[in-house]
Amino acid sequence: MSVLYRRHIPLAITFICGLIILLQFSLVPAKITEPWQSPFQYYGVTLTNWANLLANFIIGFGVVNISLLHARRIMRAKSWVDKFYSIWLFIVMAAFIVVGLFGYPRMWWTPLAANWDWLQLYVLTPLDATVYASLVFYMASGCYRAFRARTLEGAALLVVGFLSIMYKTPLFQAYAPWIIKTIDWIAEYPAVGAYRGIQVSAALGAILLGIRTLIGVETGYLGRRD
Amino acid sequence: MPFNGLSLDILQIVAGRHLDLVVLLVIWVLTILGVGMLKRGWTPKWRKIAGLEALEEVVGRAAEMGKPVHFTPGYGGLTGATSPQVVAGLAVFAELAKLCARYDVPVICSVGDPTVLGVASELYKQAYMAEGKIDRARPEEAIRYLSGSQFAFASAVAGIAERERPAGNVMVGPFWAESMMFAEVFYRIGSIQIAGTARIYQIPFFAIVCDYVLIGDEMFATGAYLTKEPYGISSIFVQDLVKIFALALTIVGLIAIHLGSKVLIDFLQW
Repeated sequence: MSVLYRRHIPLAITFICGLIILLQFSLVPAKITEPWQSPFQYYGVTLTNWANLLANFIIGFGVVNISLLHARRIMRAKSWVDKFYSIWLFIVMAAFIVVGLFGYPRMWWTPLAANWDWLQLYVLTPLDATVYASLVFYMASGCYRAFRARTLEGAALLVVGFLSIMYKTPLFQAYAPWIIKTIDWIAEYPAVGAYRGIQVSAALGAILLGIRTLIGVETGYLGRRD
Repeated sequence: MPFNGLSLDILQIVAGRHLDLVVLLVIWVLTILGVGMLKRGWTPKWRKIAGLEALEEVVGRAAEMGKPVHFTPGYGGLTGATSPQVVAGLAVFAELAKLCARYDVPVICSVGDPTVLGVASELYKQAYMAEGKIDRARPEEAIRYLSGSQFAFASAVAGIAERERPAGNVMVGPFWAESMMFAEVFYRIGSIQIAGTARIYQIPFFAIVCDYVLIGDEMFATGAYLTKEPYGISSIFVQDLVKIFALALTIVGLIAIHLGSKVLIDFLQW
């Protein structure tokens, strides 16, 4: 493939699309008031819709990738135990695809719509909630290691962490109200200051990354860095 | 004046967007000026980013142990508000894949969004091609789309960690509640970890558990830092200049507001 197709055309498309979106964002209000704003809004909205449409089509690639990976795993597995989860993945995937495709409401196959809701409500949601709940154990073990007064910062973290735990306990709320004031002050001033510092620097970093992308210096999103 | 019966407030551009555009253009011009200065022989002083310098350490350790290296850009995609973080993560992956190809270390890239899949796959192949080892590239095994659902993705990454026991774990991109899960699971299996995110509520988790952390703008500078080409260097220099300017504005704003002036607020809302 020539450099024209591999590099120049994608970079030109990026530059033009980026510029249209940028100008639409900065200069065009939600409800247009001037005739010159119309093309910016039209092309801006169209490009955004294209991006969303393409992103949804690409889900097919994901399905192919995961299917190939697990098919290979099933073929190479030495025991049924090794194969089990990959086979189970295909069964669940097939169930979701069938119910998802034919579960559209108000059609002759309407009963399947209820099955889709059932899968969402009684299979996916509880599983998600279970994994989410397990986070508490990871946090506890992480905190256990963090709350060691080996350094000055570690000691400060230990003290503030301990006060935060006390803050959430009714006993201390009733008998040591100064803890509430202390933690509120820490949360509202030093912590917010630190967060804002990080936010400003991250936003600037993202702006500069955007500029590098627009001018064709940052090409990682194309799948190469040449 | 009302327009078509609508209040003028609805019709106006969101406050501050004109200034956004002007700042962007100023940064752009400054970057180009910086490139000109670099071409005339100016060399800025670089601060080393420990997290990026440690990539070689991660791959070296994996080579010694005969184990793979795991990478994930999170489950953010190339469309949406978190896409800059994903692009920054992919820049790290490009370098990591190159190092892995050089030292013959298998790399596993866990992807949570299909839009990233093709890009990561291409970066992986390019890395092997650059090292002259394209025959050893196995993109279909290395680049894995796991799930678009947050906790299914988290469980799958934890499963990979437990089964394949990578010697190193690099996580750069947008992360949500799964950040602590990943960091803890890889800590337990003894992986050396580099993490980076611009999501401020996840940075403390990474800071507690991981060996190296890329904070705030450090992760966005990755591509420029690693390639060290003039536009990249210049943009990082301009980034620092604007950061100083933002700090100065904060101090001026603080003084102005205490003196009862709203000049700066009006200026920022232009």
